[in-house]
Amino acid sequence: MLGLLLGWSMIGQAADFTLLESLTSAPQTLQGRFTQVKLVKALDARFESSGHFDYQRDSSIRWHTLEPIDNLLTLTPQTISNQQGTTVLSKLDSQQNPVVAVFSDIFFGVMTAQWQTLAEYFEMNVEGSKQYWTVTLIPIDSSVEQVVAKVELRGDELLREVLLFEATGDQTQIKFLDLQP
Amino acid sequence: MIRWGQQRLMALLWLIVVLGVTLAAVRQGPAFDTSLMALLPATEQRPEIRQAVDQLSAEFSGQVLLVVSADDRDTARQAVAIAAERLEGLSDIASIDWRLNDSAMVSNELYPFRFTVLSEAVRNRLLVGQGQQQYQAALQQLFSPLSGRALDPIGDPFALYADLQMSRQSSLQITLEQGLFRLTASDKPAYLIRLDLHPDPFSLPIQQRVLAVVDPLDQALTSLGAQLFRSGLIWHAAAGAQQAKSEISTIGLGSILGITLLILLVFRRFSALGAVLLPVLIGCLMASAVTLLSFANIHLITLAFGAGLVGVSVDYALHFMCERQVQPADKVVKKLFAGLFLGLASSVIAYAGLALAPFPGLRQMAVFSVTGLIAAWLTVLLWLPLINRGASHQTLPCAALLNRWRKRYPHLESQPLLVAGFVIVGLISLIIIGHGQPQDDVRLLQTSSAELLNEDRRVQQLLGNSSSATFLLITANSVEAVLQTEERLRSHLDGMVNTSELDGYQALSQMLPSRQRQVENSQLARELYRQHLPELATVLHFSETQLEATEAALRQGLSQPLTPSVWRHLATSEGWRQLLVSDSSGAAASVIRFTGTLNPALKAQLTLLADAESGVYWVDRVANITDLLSDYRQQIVQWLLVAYGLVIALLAVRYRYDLWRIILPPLMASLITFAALILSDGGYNLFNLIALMLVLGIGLDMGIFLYEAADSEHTWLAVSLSAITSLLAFGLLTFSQTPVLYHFGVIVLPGLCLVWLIAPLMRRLQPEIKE
Repeated sequence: MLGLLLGWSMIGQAADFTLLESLTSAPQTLQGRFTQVKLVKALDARFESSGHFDYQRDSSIRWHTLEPIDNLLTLTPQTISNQQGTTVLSKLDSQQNPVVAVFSDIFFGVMTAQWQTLAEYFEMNVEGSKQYWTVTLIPIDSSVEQVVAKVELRGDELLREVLLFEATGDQTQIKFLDLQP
Repeated sequence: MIRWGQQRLMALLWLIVVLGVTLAAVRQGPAFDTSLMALLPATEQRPEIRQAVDQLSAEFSGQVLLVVSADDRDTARQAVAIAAERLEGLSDIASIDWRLNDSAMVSNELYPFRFTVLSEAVRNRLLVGQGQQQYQAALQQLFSPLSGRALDPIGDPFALYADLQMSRQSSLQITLEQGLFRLTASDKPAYLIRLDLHPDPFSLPIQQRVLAVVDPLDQALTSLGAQLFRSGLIWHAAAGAQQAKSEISTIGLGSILGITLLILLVFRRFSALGAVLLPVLIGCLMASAVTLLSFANIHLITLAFGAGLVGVSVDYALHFMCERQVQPADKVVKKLFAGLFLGLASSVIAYAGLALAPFPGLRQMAVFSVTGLIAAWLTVLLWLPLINRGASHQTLPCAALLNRWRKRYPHLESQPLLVAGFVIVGLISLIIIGHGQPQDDVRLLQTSSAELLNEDRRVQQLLGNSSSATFLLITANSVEAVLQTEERLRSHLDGMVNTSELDGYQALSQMLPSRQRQVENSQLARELYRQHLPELATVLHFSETQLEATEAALRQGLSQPLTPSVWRHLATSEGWRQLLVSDSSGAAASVIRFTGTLNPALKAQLTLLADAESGVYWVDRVANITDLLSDYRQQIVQWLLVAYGLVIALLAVRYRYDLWRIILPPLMASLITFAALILSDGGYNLFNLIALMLVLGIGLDMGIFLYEAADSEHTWLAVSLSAITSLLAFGLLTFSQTPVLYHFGVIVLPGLCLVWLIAPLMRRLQPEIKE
């Protein structure tokens, strides 16, 4: 145990990733359902939505909200597109828009457990065991800091819950269900 | 004895003048100029264009951009930190920008104007009645997991401000990465450091200070595995000064060394050397000092031309010293005065004419040359007799040697075949010259190395910066009118961007819409709220008070126009403010700058666009410089002809029919050299023509002295020595890396050789018979 602790502190940051990678695994592909609750402070109201998602590691994430509106969000490392029914509401290019690039990075990072990418924007703290762990992300990048105050990720061998605390005081909770690698 | 006293008094006065002027110049400090802009005429076609150009170049001249890049992010960031720490040493002469503190970013200063300043995408959407889309996007945001922007359901339920922010960020190629400016266009991690120099970047001490920090920094970063790229006028100015320095030391030293050896060989005593070099030294000193005092800095090209001065001004001293070999000092002055005076007058006429042209570049050369010549001349007349009071010496052995050789030289008058040959060669040369094509290429003026230019271009590309040399100038009687005109132009420009003809542009009205457009925008926003707010309010479960608050926020926002004076004080106007080049009562002007390279077809299109709107001008500085070089060239051709005319008129008074003996050597030499150049290079340029002026100046001197001294053997020695010294000065110029200097040398070298070969043919038959 002592040796293990010493080993950690000596390997430093690199050990963090290894630890995180040993805690959670991100399979090559994954799909499932989600429920989302957003607490909007200005309105003192909560907005619930649900739908299903799937991803191909490193290539795409599809986030399909079915209730209360039908909206499909598709992310690739290059673009974020937003489709409502058949109309494309927006298509943003992360090569051209640095803000889009940052959020695409973070979303991919969270969903597919890319700790190395997340470390560029956040300071990470790990707690718990392999059966139930929590990773707390505190932004170190000022452009992220403007929007995000804190992110908490919880899971077992897979990511089960994301809690997003926005700088404005709004909160978003996302839970993942029926996960199938 | 009184005359002697007078002479000493005059010499003393001259010493005081020399010391005074030199001291004044030293106090001001030396400054070299290599910029093309410095050569441009003072009166550009329109004052508003000139003002725009001045403002853009002033903004540009003090700006130093450094890009630090490395293969990995950590190294690059570490390199930036090292660079910033070292550059801190320059903080007294430059403001250094390398990171942004967070408070500046958080300020949402444009938020109050979210209804009057809309993003281009939102505006276009609302213009075609697609408010529904804006509503859907707002809904989507509410349920999106990707909350890139804060929700503001009361103040801005349709997220108009978020769209505005997003569009502004994407128009820059710089993003903030943990406080540093990262360049998004670079494949490798690359960060920008910006310096704004407060003092003049042309000042040598400033250049040295900056280089003393940046050069070792460059090495330190290289050893770290990072790279440093530079952009900014200061690097070109420093490189230009460096090149001028090294060429002055190689070419200048080379010619001085050659002249020294020659004088020692001929006169066989060191005092002669001092006597010959002193006037040259005083001439150069006074020329530099007076030029510096009257123009604030010396252009590299002036210095090049000044090298020619050495060749001319050494003549006066040589004549004095050669004649001094056989006569006492006071007699020498008396005997030589007419020749020396005419020599000076003809050269001064030739050079002073340059000052009449409305080009500062030529004016500087004229001041430099005329001052230098007069100073050298005065030094010969006032100082040399005083420092050469010793006994006369004897005939120099090489004078006799040279003269023997010359006596075997034919007379033109007694050689009909030679006359015919001259006529034929002259005519052929004229025909070739008539067919010669002028070459007015900007590259003639380019003194910076290709390496430096590439590095500069690379940095500008990474930044997506447009060239400051091409732009549209929009003038009107108010800022509002300027902005409205810009908006009309931009609908065309956007079309060109959409079809990928144009990479992009920067216009003031992108950041600051006209009042007219802001009114339109607020109407669009009001319509959006009228149609879609009720729906949105239902989904958001708005209470009655919340709905009222939302409507109140809209009403308040609609009455918040973004005025130019408010905008100017916002942080977001940083980097855009200088697009508004003037804003005085009754007259305003702005520029639209372009990204990427513009091909000729595109330039033609932009010219048409400018012509269609009154008060809009297409300005292309590069094309202007080419036009300018062509203007300069035509002016010089005219002046060359006028100079020949004036000199002929002046000399005709004294020499009457014998005039041809003096005029023919420089004339023939010029014609033949010029024709040969056109045959070998396929054309000629401005600097070849300026060199022809020099051939005329020096060539006339030779002819005048030979005639005045009735062909005495010591005059021939002086003329020969003067030709050889000039060749030493210009022959080496042909090896210069600077295009301007090369084009200069390539004419003067063969031209003077020919004058020297032709001049002895012109001597009168009579004196030879007498001998």
